[in-house]
Amino acid sequence: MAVNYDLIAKEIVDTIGADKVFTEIHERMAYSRDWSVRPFNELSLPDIVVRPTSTEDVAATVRIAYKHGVPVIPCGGLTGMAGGAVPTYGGIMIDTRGMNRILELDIDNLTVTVQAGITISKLNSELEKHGLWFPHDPESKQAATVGASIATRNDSTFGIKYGKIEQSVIGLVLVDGVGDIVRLGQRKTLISSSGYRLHWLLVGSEGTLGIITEATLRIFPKPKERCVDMVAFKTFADATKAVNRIVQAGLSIESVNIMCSNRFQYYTHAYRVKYGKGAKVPSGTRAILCLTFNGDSEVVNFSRNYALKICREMGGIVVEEREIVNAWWTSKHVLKFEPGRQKWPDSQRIERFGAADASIPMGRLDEAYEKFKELALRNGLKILGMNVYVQAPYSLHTSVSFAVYVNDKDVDNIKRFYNYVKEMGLYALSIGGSSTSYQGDGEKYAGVLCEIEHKDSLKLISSIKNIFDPKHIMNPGKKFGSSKWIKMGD
Amino acid sequence: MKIEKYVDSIYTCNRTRCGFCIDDCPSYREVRIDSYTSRGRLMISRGLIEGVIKPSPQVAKTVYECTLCGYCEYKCALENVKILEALRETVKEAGFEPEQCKYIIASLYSNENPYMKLRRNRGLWIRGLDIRRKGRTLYFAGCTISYSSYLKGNARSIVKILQKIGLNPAYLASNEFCCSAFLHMLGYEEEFQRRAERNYRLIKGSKCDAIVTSCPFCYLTLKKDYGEVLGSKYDIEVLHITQVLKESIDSGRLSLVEMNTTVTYHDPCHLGRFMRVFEEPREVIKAIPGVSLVEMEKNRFESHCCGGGGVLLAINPDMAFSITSKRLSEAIETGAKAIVSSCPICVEMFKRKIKYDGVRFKAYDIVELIARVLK
Repeated sequence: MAVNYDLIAKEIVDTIGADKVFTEIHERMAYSRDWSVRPFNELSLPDIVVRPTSTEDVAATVRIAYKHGVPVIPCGGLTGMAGGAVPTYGGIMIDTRGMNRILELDIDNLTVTVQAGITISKLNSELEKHGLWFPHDPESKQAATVGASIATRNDSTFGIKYGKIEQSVIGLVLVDGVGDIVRLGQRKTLISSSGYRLHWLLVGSEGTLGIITEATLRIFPKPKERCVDMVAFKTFADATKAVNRIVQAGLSIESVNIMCSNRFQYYTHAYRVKYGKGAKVPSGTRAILCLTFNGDSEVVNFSRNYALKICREMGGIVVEEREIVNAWWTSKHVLKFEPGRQKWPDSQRIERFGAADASIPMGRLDEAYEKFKELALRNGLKILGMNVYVQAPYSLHTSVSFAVYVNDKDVDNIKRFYNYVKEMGLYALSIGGSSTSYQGDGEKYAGVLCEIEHKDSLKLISSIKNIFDPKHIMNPGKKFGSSKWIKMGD
Repeated sequence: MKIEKYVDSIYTCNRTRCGFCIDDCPSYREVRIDSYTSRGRLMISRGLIEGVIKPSPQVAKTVYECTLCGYCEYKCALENVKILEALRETVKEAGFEPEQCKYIIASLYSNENPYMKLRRNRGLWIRGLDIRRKGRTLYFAGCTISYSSYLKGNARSIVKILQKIGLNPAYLASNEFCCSAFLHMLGYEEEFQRRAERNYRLIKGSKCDAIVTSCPFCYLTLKKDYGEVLGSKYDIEVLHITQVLKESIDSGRLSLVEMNTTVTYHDPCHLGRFMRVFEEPREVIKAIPGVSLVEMEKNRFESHCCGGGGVLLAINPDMAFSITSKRLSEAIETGAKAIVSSCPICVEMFKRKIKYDGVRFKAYDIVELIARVLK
C-alpha cells in the first residue's frame, strides 16, 4: 500500500507544530544530497523534513514513523562524504540543527551537555568565552554538528592527542527506532566498568540505531600557545618512524598529518591564491609530515625544537617558508581563507573531490600509496593525493584519505570511482586495515563491505540493529543491504 | 531564466556542500532550515533550472526572506549575492514577486525613493543652509537619510562637517535621485542599467567630479555598480563620509572635543564586507578624545547583519527585527553604552528596535557622534 505522506505530515504537524514541518519541494530539495560523490543532477528527496527543537519532538516524530513504518533519516550539517544522511528511500528527514543549545556547562568537572544539533564551531566559540575547548576538530566543523560527528565517527585534526570523538563522549540521549527516549553512558565521568558501553555503540552508528539528541562531552582548558611545522621526508615510513620516535621521547604531540606531495598542493590552496604559484617542497619528497604542539609557550618551544631535531636526525627537511606552513594550517584548521576564495568551492568548479577512506596499518603506508596510484590509474582516475590522519592517542593508528578527482557529469566516471573505492577498501581489509575510517559505510558501501569486514560478527550486528530498530526504519540503505554503486563480483 | 547564467556556480555549490555559509547566515539563524541558506537557495536555483521546482508564492517567500548581507559570499568562492539577486529576478519574471516589492519599485519610479515619500520633500532638511546646486564635490544624501524620522538632523550635520573642512558641497535637493540599489536587489537589472546611465547624466549636470555619501548602499551603487555599467567613461570619485572624516582628522582639518563614553562599532554589510571599508570608521571613533571602542565578537568581515538589508524589512518585519535584536544583544554584551554604525539603514533599525523594546542602550550614526564633538 502506498504511503500517504500528506497524512503523516499532518499527524506530525498536529503533534509538534506546523513551524517544525516542511513539505514543499523547494524545502525538501536542500536535503537531497550530502557531499558524497553522486551524479550532478541526482536527487534523493525526503518526503517530509522535520526540524525538531527538543528530544521530545524527535521522539514524537519517530513514534509516528514507527506506526506507519516509514524511513527516518537524521541529518546534521550534510557534509558527509558517504551519503550517510541521504534519504535513499525517501521518508522523514529529521534536521537536528534546530536543537542547538548548550544545556549545561560544568566548569568544575570540565563537561558540557549540548543538544546534538550544535555545530562544533559554535560550541567552541561559546566555550572560548570561558577559556575552554572541545578539541574534536573535523575540517567540516563549521557545519558539522556534535550529533553527526558522533554518528559518523568523523576525523579530528587533534586525534593523536585527544583521540576520535568517542574519547570525549561521556553520555548520550538517544531516541531509538521505536521512539523511546533512552539515556546512555554516564553524566559526569568517562570512567565506568558498569554494564555495557552502549553510548560508544552509537559512535559511528550513522543513525541506524536511532537519533542522538543530546551529548555530554569532556572539555579542556584551552591551551595558550600552538606551533605548526612541516617536515619533508623521502618515504611515509621515514615520517612514521619519526613520529614514533617523538612519542618514544615523551613529547605530547597535538596533531599529526602526513600527506603526499600531490595532496600538499591541494592543502596549500591559500598559498596559491596569495602568490599565484604552487608551494614547493624539496625534490624527492614523498611524505610531508605536519606536526603541531600546544600548551604553554616554554613547553611548546621545547617540544617543537626537540621534535624537529629528531626529524632532522631521521632524514627530514624542515619546511622553512612559514607562508607554506600557514597555508596548510589555514586549510586544515583555521579555515579563514581570503574573502571569497574559500578552498572547497574554489577547487571543485570543474571536477570534484572524491576519496576512498581506508584505515591502513602504520607500517604499510608506502605500499598503500603505491596501491592507491595503481588502482586510481587502473580505474582511469586522476590522483588528487593521499593524506594520513592520526586518530589514536599517542599511537600512529591512521585514517587515510586517498583522494581523486571525479567528474560528476559522467556516470561512467562515477562508476569507476566507486569501483576504485571498493578496491581500496578490499585492499585495506587484506592487510588488516579497515574499509572505512572517517566517512562511515553510509550509502556508499551500505552493507557490502561491512559484511566482509565483520563476517564473524554479522549475526550480533543484526541482533543489535533489531533491538534498537525493530522495524528497520532508521536510516535504511546505510550499513546494511545492497549498495547502489558498490557490488561484489563486478 | 536569469539564473541560468550562473549554472556552473550553482552546480559547483551543489557538488560541494561544504556548508561554510550556514551557521552565521542571518535568515538561517531565524528559521534553521537548509532552504534558508545560500546553499539551499542555490539548490532552489538548480531546481528551477531543471524544472523540478515550479515558482510559487512559497518559493518566493524563501527567496526574498534574505538580507543579501553577503556573509555567504565572504565564506565562499562563488558570486553568491549576484546569484541570489538573479534568483529573485527569476521568481519575479515567473509572476511571483511579493506585493511589497512591487510597491517599492512603483515608489522608486514615481517618487524617486523606495519609501513612498513625496519627491518634493526630499530636500526639506536643507532649509536655512547655504548650499549650492553645483560644485566640484556633491553631497549625495540618499533616500533613507532624506526621509527617516529617526535620522533627522544627520544630513544637516554632514553638510556642516563638510563645510567646516572646506569642501563646501553641492546638493541636488529635490532633483536628487534614488541610486536604485533596490532595482539590483529586486532583480530589475535592465532597468538598473538604464537608470545608471540617466543618473550619471544628472551627476555630471552638477559639475562635480567627486561624490560624498554616508549611505553604504549609495556608496556601493555609485562607486562600484555604476562603474560596472558605465565602464571607463564613469569618471566620478565616490567617497564614504567615514573616509572623508578620517582624512580630515589625520590632516588636522577637523578637531574634536572630549566625550567620555564606551561604544561598539557595527560594520554595515555594504560598507564592510562588500566595499572593505573597515578601519576608517574605527579610526574616526578612536580619534574622539575620551571615547573607548570595544569590538563585538563578530566584526569586520564576520559582522552579523542588522536585519535591514535585502528589503527584508518590507517582506517580513518580524524576521528583520529579530535579526536586529540578535545584533543589538551582541553589542550590549560588550559592555558598551552605545552601538555606532555608519549606515542610515543599520542605525534606523537599531534605533527602532531600541525604542520598541525600551532598552537602555543607544544607537548613533557616526556622523551624529562627530557632530556632537565638533570643536
